[in-house]
Amino acid sequence: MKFELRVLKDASRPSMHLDADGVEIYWKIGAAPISPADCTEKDTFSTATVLLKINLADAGKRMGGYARWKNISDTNKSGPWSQIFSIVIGS
Amino acid sequence: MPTRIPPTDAEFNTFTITATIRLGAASEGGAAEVIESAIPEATTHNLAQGPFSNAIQVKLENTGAASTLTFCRAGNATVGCAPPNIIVAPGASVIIAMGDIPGTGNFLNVTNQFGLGAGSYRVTLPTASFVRLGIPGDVYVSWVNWDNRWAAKYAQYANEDTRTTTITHEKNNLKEDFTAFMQPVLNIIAASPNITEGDRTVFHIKKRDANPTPRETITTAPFVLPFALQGGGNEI
Repeated sequence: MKFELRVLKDASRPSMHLDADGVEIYWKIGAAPISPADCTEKDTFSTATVLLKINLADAGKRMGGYARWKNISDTNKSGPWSQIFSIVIGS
Repeated sequence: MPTRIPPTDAEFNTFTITATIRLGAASEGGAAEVIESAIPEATTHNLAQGPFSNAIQVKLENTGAASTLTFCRAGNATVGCAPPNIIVAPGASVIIAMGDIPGTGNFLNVTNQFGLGAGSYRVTLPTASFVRLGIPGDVYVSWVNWDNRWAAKYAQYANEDTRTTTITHEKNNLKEDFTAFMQPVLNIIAASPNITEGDRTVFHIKKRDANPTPRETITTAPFVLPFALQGGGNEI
């Protein structure tokens, strides 16, 4: 899976928020998560373009999740969660 | 590690010439050096030893009452100031750029010619920037030599009639060697307590931010575009 994160919706390319050290993504495979706390997987990335390895066994299943800008040194200053994203995992 | 982008030839050219002129030029707000002395007739005194930047402004005063003094640039400290020279009458003064003083060489001399009686002078020389910044004189001389070599080689390179593969290689090697020579000098400048904002601009030396700005709380969420990549791969 590949994720591109943008500060502005109409930005022409992925970019990191100026006050962020990275991006935090929570996700769940199967039923759509109802909140970030409902997700079963999570990881933090230092780039605005993220490549995520998914088990081949999950191909064809739906994946849903949330992302937010992360301040690693002071988590309280991290940004709010994005709207839910949802996509079918490629085979 | 940040990527270091080498300057273009044009930028390099601008840097070497601008920086060299600046180093030799008068100090910004630096204390001026004043030389005062009596001078017997038929005598030459050396006032200062360069190399000088042509941009340096000096004040030449004849503080005597009778004898006319002549000032010039000469090849050594004992050469008298025969014409062409700058003539300053008793009680008069001249403010002049070093480049406008007749003669060649790295010595600024004054002569009280025979038959005019004893005289006296006061000469005000601004401190050169390389002195203010703590750069040794021999290093500055080397810098000027590098600058001259670069100007000559770059002129050959810039002229399509004289440009050859060898000239291009020599130009590139000169640039590389000068960069290696320059780095310790830039370190001296950067560490100098007398560095000014003008120096920082010319030499591209940034001031360290000792008071980091705290980051604000992020208030916006990212826009996420997920892509389902097809295919697979093997890892061994």
